[in-house]
Amino acid sequence: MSNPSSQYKGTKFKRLMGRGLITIRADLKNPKVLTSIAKALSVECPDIRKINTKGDRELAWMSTDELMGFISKDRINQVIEKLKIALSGQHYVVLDVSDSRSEFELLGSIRDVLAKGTPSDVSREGLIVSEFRRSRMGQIQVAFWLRDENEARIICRCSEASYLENWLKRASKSENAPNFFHS
Amino acid sequence: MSTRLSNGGRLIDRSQPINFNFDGKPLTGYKGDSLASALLANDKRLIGRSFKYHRRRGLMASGPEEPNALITIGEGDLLEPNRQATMAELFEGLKAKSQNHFPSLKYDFGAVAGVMSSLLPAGFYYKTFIHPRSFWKYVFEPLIRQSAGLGGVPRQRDSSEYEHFYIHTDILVVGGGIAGILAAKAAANAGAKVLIVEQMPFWGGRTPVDHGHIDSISSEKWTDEMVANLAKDNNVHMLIRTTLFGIYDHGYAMAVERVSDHSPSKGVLRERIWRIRAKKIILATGAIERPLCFKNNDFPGVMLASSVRDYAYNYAVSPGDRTVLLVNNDDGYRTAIALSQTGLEVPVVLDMRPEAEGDLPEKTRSLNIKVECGRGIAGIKENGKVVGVEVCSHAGEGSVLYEMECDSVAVSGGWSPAVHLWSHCGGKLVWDETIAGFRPNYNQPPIDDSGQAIAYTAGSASGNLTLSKTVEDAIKVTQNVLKALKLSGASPNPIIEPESCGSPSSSCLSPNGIKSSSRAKAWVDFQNDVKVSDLDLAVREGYESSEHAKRYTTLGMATDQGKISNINGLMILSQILGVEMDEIGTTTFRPPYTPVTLGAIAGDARGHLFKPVRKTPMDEWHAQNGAYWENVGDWRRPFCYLKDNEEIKDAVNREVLRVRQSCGILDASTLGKIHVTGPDAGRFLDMIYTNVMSSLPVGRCRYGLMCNENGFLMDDGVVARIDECSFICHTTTGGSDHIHAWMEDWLQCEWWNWKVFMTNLTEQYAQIGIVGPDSRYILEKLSTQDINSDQLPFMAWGDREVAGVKAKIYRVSFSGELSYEIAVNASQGQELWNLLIDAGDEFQIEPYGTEALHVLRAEKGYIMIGQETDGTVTPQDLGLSWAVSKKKKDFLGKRAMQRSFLMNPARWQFVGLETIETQAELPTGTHAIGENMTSHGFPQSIGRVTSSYFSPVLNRTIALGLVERGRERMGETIWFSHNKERVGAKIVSPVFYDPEGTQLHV
Repeated sequence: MSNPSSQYKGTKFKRLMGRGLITIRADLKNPKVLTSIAKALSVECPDIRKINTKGDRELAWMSTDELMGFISKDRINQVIEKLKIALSGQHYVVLDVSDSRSEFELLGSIRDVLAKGTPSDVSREGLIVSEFRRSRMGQIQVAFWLRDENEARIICRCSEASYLENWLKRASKSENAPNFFHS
Repeated sequence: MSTRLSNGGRLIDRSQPINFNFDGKPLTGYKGDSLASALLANDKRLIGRSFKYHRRRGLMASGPEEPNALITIGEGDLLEPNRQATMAELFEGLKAKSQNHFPSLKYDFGAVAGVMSSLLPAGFYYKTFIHPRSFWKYVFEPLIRQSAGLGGVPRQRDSSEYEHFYIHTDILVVGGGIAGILAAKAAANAGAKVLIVEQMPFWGGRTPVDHGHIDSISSEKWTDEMVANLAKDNNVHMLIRTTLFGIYDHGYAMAVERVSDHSPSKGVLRERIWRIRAKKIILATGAIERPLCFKNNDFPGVMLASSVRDYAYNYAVSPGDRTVLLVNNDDGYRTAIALSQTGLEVPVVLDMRPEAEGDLPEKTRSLNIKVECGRGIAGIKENGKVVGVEVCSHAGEGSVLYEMECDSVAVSGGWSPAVHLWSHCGGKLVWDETIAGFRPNYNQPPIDDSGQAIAYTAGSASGNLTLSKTVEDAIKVTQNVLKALKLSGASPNPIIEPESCGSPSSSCLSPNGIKSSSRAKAWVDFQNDVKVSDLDLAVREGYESSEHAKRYTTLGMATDQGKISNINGLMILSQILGVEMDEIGTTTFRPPYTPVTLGAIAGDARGHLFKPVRKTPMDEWHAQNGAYWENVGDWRRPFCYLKDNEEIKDAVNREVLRVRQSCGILDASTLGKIHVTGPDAGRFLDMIYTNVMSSLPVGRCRYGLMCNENGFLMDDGVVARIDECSFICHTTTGGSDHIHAWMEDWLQCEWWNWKVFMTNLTEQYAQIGIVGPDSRYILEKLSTQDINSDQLPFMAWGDREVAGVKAKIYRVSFSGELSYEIAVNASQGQELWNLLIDAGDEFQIEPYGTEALHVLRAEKGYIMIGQETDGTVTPQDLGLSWAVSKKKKDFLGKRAMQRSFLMNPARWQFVGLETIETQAELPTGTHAIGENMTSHGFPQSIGRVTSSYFSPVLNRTIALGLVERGRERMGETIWFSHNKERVGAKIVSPVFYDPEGTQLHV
């Protein structure tokens, strides 16, 4: 059973700036396509429902024909050009969507906070590091993933970032710790 | 009188006295007390007044089944009415108030006058107070509302916090009694993840009170050790003060945890709803004792036998010095034994059965307590308090054999397995005569999507009346559950001495032939004031099915949902009708099991988290510059910008004039922007839009309409061709998500092999409209190249730089003025906005909001989705046939447009409306009245106003509307009905301003 003393004390979050996002849609069953995407981003293509991380670069599985690339903003145009060249001749789309999404970092008792907003399974077995989960947080659409046991990232629409910020502020208050996952 | 005993009390801590207040009186209890036990310890036996008849009521029970003791707890922003005193834990400074009395609890007008019972029989709202007709609304209803009811509504906003919490677990165990504890332990041993919830603030259920030894240590000690052991188990999460209130399909269950009700304070999390997905659910919910129905059985001092021993053993509170017991089963004898062990007197146990041979009656006799079988209670003797009972023969009609002095009466009408949760999601029940109760039908459990049982009962919830059987069942059931999950592990196997138990009786009426005058004073449902005679009446008037009788009498419909009364009601019904209990059946059990606060249901969705509000990149600027907000879709947009002490309408007029005269600036970022690309993109858009998009040249824009498959207009907007195989489709603000989903739906389900990719770029771009005759000068000031009418004509777009910022400029117009929509990356939106405002300064540029936008488009007769359309309007109705292709072989809505109803020339058509009196108002929604009458005798409606504004340019009101055969009737005056007056308006062209469009092409 969980320890009643609050482990929420170290839980904090902040909005991150500076990472760009690239929507990539193409035939992901084609190994050539996967190779050229991986090469352009210098990250291996993720398996279904996964995200691969390499430094500040990440590549997430969005759907059977869609990936989302995360890369620092100053390199984004370069990478998009690379992708376009690599995929030319294919049916594909590569778009800079950096300004569409806001990214948040959540540190500490992350599972207890996430479970207040998403109906999906965020237990150690249900949400392992490297799993990329498209779900909701409170009343808004989000995607989230764990970088390690103490760090989660959440992305949401920019227009709803202030909602998510307020939501996280309330949900991560230490006096509201259910201490379910972190015992 | 009721009082605190000098010894004992397993749940209270006598070293920690607690001060509290009841109806303004300071009282003292101990830590660990419930409000109920503390009131009883202070001799407060009268706790409330009944719902309809305002009868005196006291505690009947000790747990969540309590029907009477509803209390208002707290004050101001922490006030909550209708709390059960039995479920409220005592805390320092608790303020409690009794409910439903006037002027005071002790002297109540309604009860003193005795008027209520004759006015409010079963089904009263169907037949009393019918005449004279107007009296119901003005006299009877207000009177009944005043006198009948529960606690008052809080006057202040609740300051507490609430939240939801979602978890997934292998096994959910409901109930922390011995069966639940054993189940949790066995499941954890097998490696399953377990959540166990218990509604009370303590573990163990009835076992510590009711049973002597387990594994040759006291049952209390055994329980404590087991609980401590469970608490150390990493596979188990334990929640007390948590009521599982509903089970739904696929193992979804909801529980409410009372996080801080035992020590409330402002702004603290009060309740948490646990939303649980379990692979299997074990319901160790125990059983609920039933009362017995005899004359004046609702009098304070009459209590369930199990509760009497709860108060005595758990809280060291004696309900009275001399307690008479009335039972129809063996279990009630435990109370006689428990009371005599605490030194209290039990003058007699009256057993309704002809004989009582089980171990418990034998033990009772051995303690020299008198046991009389075949006896009943004919009535209560009282002088404001119980002073005795009239003892009669159970077999007869209630002739009094003798009177027995007492100040407390404990009753046991047998135990009903708590099958509510089992039934919530489809578990079936059977009547089991051997336990005189409905128990789960093990062959028809609630099932999951694969047809396997999702919930199981364990222990007394399964219908076991003795501890040994309860334990045996809990172990067996848990092993079955584990087997179903392909798990295995050792169960604890406690040693329990078997107990012989006599058959309970299934009669709850005392005496069996209770006569009609007594039936009218014998309560079945205490909280809703339903008596035996009400069930008689229901049957007499034909409400024989249990569901009908329930609704006619309101049996089981109070906040306690008839936990102690339903089965008695059904047994009485079965007796009156002379049919078997199985045939009577139960009424339907539905969630929630116990009342759940609205705050808990809302969770965190309140205050600034009530609903997400979408904000544009320039939102903060708007807020700082006088924005008066409007919700559009999920967005907030400035309706207008208020300057100083300006009125809203003045601001709108100012903004409209500024656009027409020089230049306005609009935040159009909320417009949907769906990027469509691929070799089949043109072909795809030709299906989605009513007009042809595939022929659109690169660099050009086209206004397009989307219909649903029924031919009705659903969205509109400008489509821009980006390159040979890419388009950007602009949608309405409210449409961006559902239009994107709609397009994906068609693409994925119908044209799945077409090569098209869609991306919703709505938020990627900040889109700024710069609108008005001076707009081009402003852009040129910001060194924007090539934007004159040759280089960027109306309905063209191009990649340009505005003050060095990369932008897409669309030369489109929703105002009839020269206008550019500039799309830049959202992060650059505010910067560009500032640059435009600065550059526009010399032209007196001003921001304008959605209302000016509306006026401007209405002056030009442009339609607005959601104003002119409501899901029943076609492009043809709106005079937009030019945007519906006649050449295309197919598009969404084409076929439906051929239907006779949509081809009908008498359809309402889009027109402009000018009131005869230029300043007269013709509000949106006003109907035009024809000469004919409908079959109901109302004037026929021949049209309605869809948009209505004041046009500052024309200095008159203008309206748009849909009118029967409108286009044929230009110049005709029709009449509208507004505020009971007739307003005349002339049908005119919907284009009020610049019909030649010269402003657009400058």
